[in-house]
Amino acid sequence: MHTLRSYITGFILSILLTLAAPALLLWHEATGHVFPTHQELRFAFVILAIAQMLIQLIFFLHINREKEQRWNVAALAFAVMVVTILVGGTLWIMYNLQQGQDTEMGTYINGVVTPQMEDD
Amino acid sequence: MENNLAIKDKNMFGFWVYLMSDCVLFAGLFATYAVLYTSTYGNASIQTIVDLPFVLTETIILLTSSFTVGLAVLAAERGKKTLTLAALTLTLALGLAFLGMELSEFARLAAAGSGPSQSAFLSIFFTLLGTHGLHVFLGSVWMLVLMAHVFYKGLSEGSTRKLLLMSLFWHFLDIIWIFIFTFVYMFGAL
Repeated sequence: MHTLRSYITGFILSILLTLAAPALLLWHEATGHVFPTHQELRFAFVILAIAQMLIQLIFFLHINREKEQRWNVAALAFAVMVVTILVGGTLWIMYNLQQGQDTEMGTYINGVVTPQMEDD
Repeated sequence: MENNLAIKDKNMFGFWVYLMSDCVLFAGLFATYAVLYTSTYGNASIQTIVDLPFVLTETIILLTSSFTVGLAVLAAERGKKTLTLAALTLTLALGLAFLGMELSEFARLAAAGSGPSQSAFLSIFFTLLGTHGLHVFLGSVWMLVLMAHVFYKGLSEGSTRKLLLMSLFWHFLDIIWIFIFTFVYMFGAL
């Protein structure tokens, strides 16, 4: 896998994916925020970031299905799991906390502890 | 494949585990960012900070440096000392250019009265980008040490393996930056 070809392929793909995100944003602004919509654009950005990560992993970090890579892949899978729980769990809990506040605009989130919070 | 030996290496696996734990560190910062990015306290928001051509230049610079560090590894595996040093010099120059741009953005914000102490958003913005920048800086120091090693002692199996570990670190920082680019800047520009 350590070949000039793999690095060049990875480099070209990563540049294209990087340019795709702002290109989509310009398209979004050119069509007056109609297509792609905000939601579609967010979705596209996430997909592009994941694709970019996979390209870097495969072409630059040489992660593959070969036997000697098995433990590296296992560590990677574990890290992905921890990251998913950490980020997903944080967003889930903090969103619900914000919803649960009956004071003005998410005061807990804004770093101001409300009287109810101090009682906890 | 001369490289298979290095891949099987325990050092390699140990370093990989370190990279994955660093991943978790950044995940914590990203989660905090996601929670706090609207908490601007009347100061600068991400929408006012983001400068797309600027950040796109930073991204292209870092991606190119990721490519050139790969070239350095290829040259080292083939025993080409001068080519290795040339590729490393180019990578280091690109890394420092990236750091310079990041610091200039920090300085611009601080001069405009939007330093890290002004709001929860600015705190996490500076922390997230600063932590990545600190990694790039330490990677640059590591690269400089390896360049001196290769320059004076020449290429050996040991120096090539060290170079390979350093390249993993550099590619990893590239991946982290892609997520900063997407979730901070692209989402912010939306």
